[in-house]
Amino acid sequence: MAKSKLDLLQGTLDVMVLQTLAVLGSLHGYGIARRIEQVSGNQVLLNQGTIYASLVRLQNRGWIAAEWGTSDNKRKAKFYSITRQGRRQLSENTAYWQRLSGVMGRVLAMQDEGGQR
Amino acid sequence: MRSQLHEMLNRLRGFVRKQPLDREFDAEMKAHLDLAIEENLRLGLSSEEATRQALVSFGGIEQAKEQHRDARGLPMLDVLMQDLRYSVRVLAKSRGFTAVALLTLALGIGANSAIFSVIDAVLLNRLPYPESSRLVVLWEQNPGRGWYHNIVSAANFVDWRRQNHVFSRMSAIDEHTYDVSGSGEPLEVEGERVSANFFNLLGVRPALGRTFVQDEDSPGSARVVVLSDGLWKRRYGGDPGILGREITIDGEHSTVIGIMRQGFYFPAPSGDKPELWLAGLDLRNPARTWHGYDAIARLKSGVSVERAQAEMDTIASGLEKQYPEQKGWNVQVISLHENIVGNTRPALLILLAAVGVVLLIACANLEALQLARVSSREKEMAIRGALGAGRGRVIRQLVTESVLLAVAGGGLGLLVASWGTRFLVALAPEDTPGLGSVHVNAGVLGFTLILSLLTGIIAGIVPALTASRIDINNSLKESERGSSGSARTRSRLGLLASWELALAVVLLAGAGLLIKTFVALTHVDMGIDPHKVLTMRVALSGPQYAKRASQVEFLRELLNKVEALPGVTSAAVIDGGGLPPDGGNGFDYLIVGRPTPPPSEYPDAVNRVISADYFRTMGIQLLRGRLFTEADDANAARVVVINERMAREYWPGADPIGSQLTFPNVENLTMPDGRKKAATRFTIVGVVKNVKNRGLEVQPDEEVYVPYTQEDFVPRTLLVKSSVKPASLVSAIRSQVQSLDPAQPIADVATLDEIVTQARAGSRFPMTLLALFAGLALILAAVGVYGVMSYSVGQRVHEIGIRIALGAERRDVFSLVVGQGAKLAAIGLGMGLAAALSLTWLMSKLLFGVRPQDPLTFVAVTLILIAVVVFATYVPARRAVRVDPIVALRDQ
Repeated sequence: MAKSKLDLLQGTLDVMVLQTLAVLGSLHGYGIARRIEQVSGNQVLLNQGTIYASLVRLQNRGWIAAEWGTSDNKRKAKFYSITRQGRRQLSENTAYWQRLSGVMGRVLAMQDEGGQR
Repeated sequence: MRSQLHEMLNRLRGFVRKQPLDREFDAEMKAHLDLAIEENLRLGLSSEEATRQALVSFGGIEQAKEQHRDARGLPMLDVLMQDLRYSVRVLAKSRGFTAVALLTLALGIGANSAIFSVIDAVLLNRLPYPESSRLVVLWEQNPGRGWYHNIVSAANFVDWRRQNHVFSRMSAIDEHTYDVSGSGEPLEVEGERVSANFFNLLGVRPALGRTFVQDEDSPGSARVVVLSDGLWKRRYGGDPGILGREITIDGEHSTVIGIMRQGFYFPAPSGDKPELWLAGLDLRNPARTWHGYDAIARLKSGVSVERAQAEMDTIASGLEKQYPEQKGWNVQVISLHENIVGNTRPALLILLAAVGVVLLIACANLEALQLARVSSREKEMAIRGALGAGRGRVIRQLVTESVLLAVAGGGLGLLVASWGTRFLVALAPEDTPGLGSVHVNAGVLGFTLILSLLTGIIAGIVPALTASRIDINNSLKESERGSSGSARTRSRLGLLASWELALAVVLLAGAGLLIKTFVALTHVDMGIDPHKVLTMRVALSGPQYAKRASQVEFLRELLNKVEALPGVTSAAVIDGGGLPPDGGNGFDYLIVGRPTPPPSEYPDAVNRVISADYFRTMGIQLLRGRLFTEADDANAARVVVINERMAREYWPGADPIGSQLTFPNVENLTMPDGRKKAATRFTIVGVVKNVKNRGLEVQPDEEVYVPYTQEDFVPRTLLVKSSVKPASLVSAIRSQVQSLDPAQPIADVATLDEIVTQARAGSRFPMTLLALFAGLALILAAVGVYGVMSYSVGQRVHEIGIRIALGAERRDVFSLVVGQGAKLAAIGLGMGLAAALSLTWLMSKLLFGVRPQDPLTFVAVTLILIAVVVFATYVPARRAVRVDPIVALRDQ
């Protein structure tokens, strides 16, 4: 059960979901999926169905809450919103991702300085 | 951390509430798609295209469901449930296999649980005293003369207590039977006179009132008594008002100061249980050779038994230098728990090993059955493999199957165990400590569960590995018979069957040796004829018997009256030191006219105070001289009768009649009325045949019989030899006692046959059980051999068909199969006999009259095993003979 590529992807998706909910407030699964697709320029999500595994996981951890409700155009759907714990988690994750991407950026920007190995 | 716990709980809920959550997710997905389609329609797509694009963006619906389930529930457990469901279906389909496997496991596991529950109660049970591991028992011992577990002399006890630095408290105990009279029928009970700190040492408090205080330690201080819960309820109806009241014990008034709580016991949870405790123990007797008291102590905290032993060794060697009669004597310190269970341990551990072996056989049986089944399910495995089941998945499925079987077998085994423990308790010797608390408790349940799981895994792993190695291509291509794995499977099965036989041989050998032991014990010449002899105790309590003369008078009249009863052949009395084959009290003696050895080397004899008809009643044969007569009374010269062993040892080839003895230690004895006994010479008037007096297994010690009419102590155990059934005489004898004195109780009614049987119970218990387990092992091994042979014949039908077609005689086929069985038996016997020969010495402690390598036993074991193998091979061999070559070959 080592951390695999899939796990990383899942982790990434979880952060995206949390961030979306933090910014947009209460939203149903389709809305979250669409929003992420739009923001990422359709680069991230292969299948919208994948978002539900992430949603149930976040819910189980107590980071988001869910409730059945009615959408703007009078459709019944399950609405998700971020909890206080979820916000705390998000700020931790944000810091982590920013540090990580900073480090990755610096490492990948490394130039051959001609030194001997 | 909190979120992980949160998630785990939610996952558990997800696992349990699978269906409602599935339905909810379906609704959620539907809403999702509807929203997507609506948006697509708004963008101007046709309704068909809108739906198609919504579905494409969503991705695989089943995949999403699967991911959803994995994220919310417990996927590992889901797989397990799947495997379990599948296993139940498979097992339900092959009923024969399942039934045999379950029965095997139930017997194997059940027998283990039953024995474990006895061990749990007897060996592992903690004593009901606080910090009981600090409680020890002190014994005097003289290893040079082979004397162990001797009770302690008062003078030594007092010195130990003064000199040691390892015990926080020490207490001496004097066991007695006491007569409780006053309100209601007179009653005889076991009791103890103890040091005042006895209860504090044990760390127990009374349920009511108080226990003794230091002031009450000196003899002659206030007479106070503590009662057991049982005696309090039985005798005084549980009336708390008894506190502070006086009751009559041995004719004297004592004030009740406390009642112990229910369940309190000392020294052991079985056997004679004291029901009252008196203070005022007199420890002033200076005679170090007068061993009269049990001694217990509590170790100071942090002191080990070994350190206490070292300190007591030092103290004992100091006393040895100081007092010549202490030469050769030292002290044994042993924990109270060990003191209680030490004797029971060897037998129980051997039985545990034996049931363990039975379980190993059951395990091998299950493995063989699984292996045979796996190879006949080769196609199924191959298809599952072809459909993408990984090796791990196949292994997991098969191990799940055998674990399921084992756990179900264990469940049935609990039924076997709960019945079995009842049987064990009935069979065990009555004095086994902790027997009353044997039952199937939580510990036993846990033990059974663990055992079942282990059994399932061990028995399942090899067949599972075998199955996982099945070559998909070959299996699917090849015909049903003669596939690649089957030869290997056959030889592995053969090996398992041989193993089972070997294990059964070990148990059979053990059982055989114990049976021979028991037979030898039954045929031991005890020197008495215990048949139709009734025993009971008369109390002789009350002020009217304070004088010895009136006791003697009472007994003389009683014996006359009882002997006059129809059906009674003779009657006698003996002191309470214990009836043959157990010992009476030991006394040092000296032979007048011979050089006096130092006190530590005084010879020692069993001393029995009896009435004249004792020899006739017990059927003890006179060899020389005469027995006692009416004329040997208090006014006549003191006389004794000795046993053959003593005569041979000290008068070899000569006549001991007319020689005289003295009892040097009795001379020191202060009588209850304060006077000292005068030095007395005893003339030997007769020699009788030896009677077992140190147990059935041991050669009798020297023994000296003294007529009670000349003694200060009056015997109270009545023996009645009859020509009719002894039990039919009890009420007649009771009414004779009461016609002399209505206030006299009789107690401990038993036949001598019963007492002798009880003396053998210690060896009957392990014998019966080991024989039972050996029988069980044999049956299981026979089932194993039968199963293996049947499988082998089934696999070789084609080969046998060809042989017959090519002209093999039926006889040849028959001997082909029997020959295979014989090979299994030979390997099994070889391994088993070798193992048994090297293991049976472990049980030498339990053997009597037979060597651990007794050839006759081993020959018998061999014959039994061969008979069983022939029996188990016969049916498959018959089937092989009946193979029709045409059918067998066409079947291909």
